[in-house]
Parts: sequence; structure tokens; C-alpha cells
Amino acid sequence: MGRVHQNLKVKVPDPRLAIIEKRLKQVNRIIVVASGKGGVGKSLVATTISLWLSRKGQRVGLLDLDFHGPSCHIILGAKEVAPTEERGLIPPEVHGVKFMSVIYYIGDRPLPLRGDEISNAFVELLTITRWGRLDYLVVDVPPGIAEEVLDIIRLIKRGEFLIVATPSALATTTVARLSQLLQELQVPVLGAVENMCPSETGTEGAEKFGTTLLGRIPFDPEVEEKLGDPELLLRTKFARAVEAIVDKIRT
Amino acid sequence: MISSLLAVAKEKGAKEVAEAKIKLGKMQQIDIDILNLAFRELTRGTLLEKTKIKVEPEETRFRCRACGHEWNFEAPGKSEEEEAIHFVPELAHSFLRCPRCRSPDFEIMGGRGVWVEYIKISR
Repeated sequence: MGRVHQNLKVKVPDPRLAIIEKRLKQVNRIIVVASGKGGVGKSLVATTISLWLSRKGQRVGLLDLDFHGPSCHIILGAKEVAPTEERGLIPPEVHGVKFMSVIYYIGDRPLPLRGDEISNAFVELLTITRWGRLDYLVVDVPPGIAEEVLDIIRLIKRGEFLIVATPSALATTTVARLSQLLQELQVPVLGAVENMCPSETGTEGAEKFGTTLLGRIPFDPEVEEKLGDPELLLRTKFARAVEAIVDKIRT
Repeated sequence: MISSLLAVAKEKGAKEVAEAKIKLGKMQQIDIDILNLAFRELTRGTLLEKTKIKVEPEETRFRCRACGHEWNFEAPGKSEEEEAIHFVPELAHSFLRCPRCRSPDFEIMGGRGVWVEYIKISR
């Protein structure tokens, strides 16, 4: 009788948001490969970083968040693989990288999504994917500063951004805008990489990106024919330049 | 879901959780009996062991943004497509079309997800 008995109705918040943290608990670092601009080579850089990290003995996951134009699977040559269902989805390992993408389900079909739907799909994907223990999770985000980027900032506070640019003035102004936004929101930024450069030397003119320049990657016409074959891809000039950037990220 | 229920119960200082009301979107294609069974299994030895769960299904309703037509979700009948929608409901935009104008630009008005509307606690 000494107990105060109340039949209180209590609201319960969206359970998915709590699960996301739990799902990423055993992931040591989360590298978010972004750009404001499309066509600068984000997916290629993100996938090559994942492959190098795996080669260097790290446990790596790669999440392709580009719902409208997923392409990491083409670079990895991920064919006839699918996640295993076990209290969520366990991504299959492709060339040493645990790889998650919507392509397992939509194949080559278009996936026309609007704003909130992108957010919901992203939250759902993070909720159901069981990465397990990882040293690195690399996230390839689509161009722009819309849902995917804003949701990462909202939901994965420790995500470290790696910004991909090209030497073109058409890319640098947009990239500088992304840098500015990340700085304003006090989001961790590793720095920028400049892809498709006429030569890979030097760091002059790096201030235009609004962040540290981690390296330049030469334009390498040989990369295109190595897509889908990670072994050959890692032997290209492009991949060797990415390796130097990976070593900087790791320190 | 159970861990977030337990977290809320703990936060509110609950000694008992008498009831939990769970809404089950039909789009998720989850069997109520399986949900009940899983709840009983996974709450054994916790504060929720004796909690009565009330599961209420919610109809899936779509509205076409192109022509305004509204309709109820019907599972596409192909197991791969149903599996995709079960995991990530938004993938429906790859598989389903408005039955009137064939547009993939429709809004999911209801029936998406599984959520807890409330719990009844004593403290």
C-alpha cells in the first residue's frame, strides 16, 4: 500500500534513432566522402579508400548512400551477392569490404524518391544494417547538401568528412560552400582531395577549398577499363595517389 | 524497439509496465503472431516480461502526387519485391506505380513502419 500507483501513459520516441547508435557502436571511425558537386569521382575515391584500408589489414565497411545513382557496386564488381538476414541485414564481403547498397534490392530499376523518403530510407538502412566490428566505415554520399548530408550530420555526429573536388572552377565554388557549411556546424572535416588533376604534385592554391588539402589525384584515363576489377584498379596511378591519402587519414 | 521501450521505462522510473501499444504498418508485412512471440521471447527477465501488448495494424494508404488518386497497398506478389519493401518501405517507388496514371511519384500516407504509440507505467 505504501507504493504510489499510477497508470501513466508515456510516449515512446522513434525506436530507430536509438538503434542507429547501437548499430554503429563497434565501428571505430566513420569516413564520409562528400562533395557539393556531382561527377567529381566521389564513389571511385570512396571505394578505392575502402579497398586500400582492407588491404592494409583494416576491417572496413562501405555504404553507398546514393539512392538515385548508386555506383560503388560497379567499381567493386559486386555481382551475385546479397546481405544475410539475421536480426537485421549483414552486408556481404566483397573484395574484403563489407558492402551495403540498395542495389541488392532494386537492381537496375530507377528509385525515384523525394526528400522525406530519402531520409526515411537512410534511417531504415542504418537501422537494419549490422556492420559488426569495423575499424572504418566509409560512406559514399550523393552530390548536394540535401537529405543525405544533413542526415549524416544529424544522426552520425562523429562522421569525419572527406571532401572531393576537381580543379574545375565549376566544382571548387560548390565544394567551398560545403566546407563552409561543415565548418559552421562544427562537423569534423578531414580535408579535401582534388581529383582529376593534370598532375598530382603540389598543394598550391589549396585555400580555395576552405579546408586542408590532403592530396591531389591525377586524371588517369586507365581507370575506366579497370572498373569492376579491384585488383587491377589498385595498380593504377589513380589508386596509388589515393593510397597516399589513405595513409594520411589513418594517422 | 524493446531496448527503446526499456530505456523510456527506466528514464520515467517505472516499476511496472502494464501495457504497450504497438502500431504495425501493413506495408512492413510483419505477422502479428510472430511479433507477439518475439516480444515475449526477447523481454524474458526484463521489466517488460509481464507487459501486455496491444498490436494495432495500420492500413497502408498511398496518394499519387501526379494525379491525386488514393489507394491501398497491395503486396506486389513477387517475393523479392516484397522482401525489399519489408526492409526499406521506400523501395516501393522502384516496384509500385499509381494504378490510375502509372506514376511512381506517390506519397505513403500511412502503414509505414512499426512504432510504439505509448506505454502504461506504474512507479
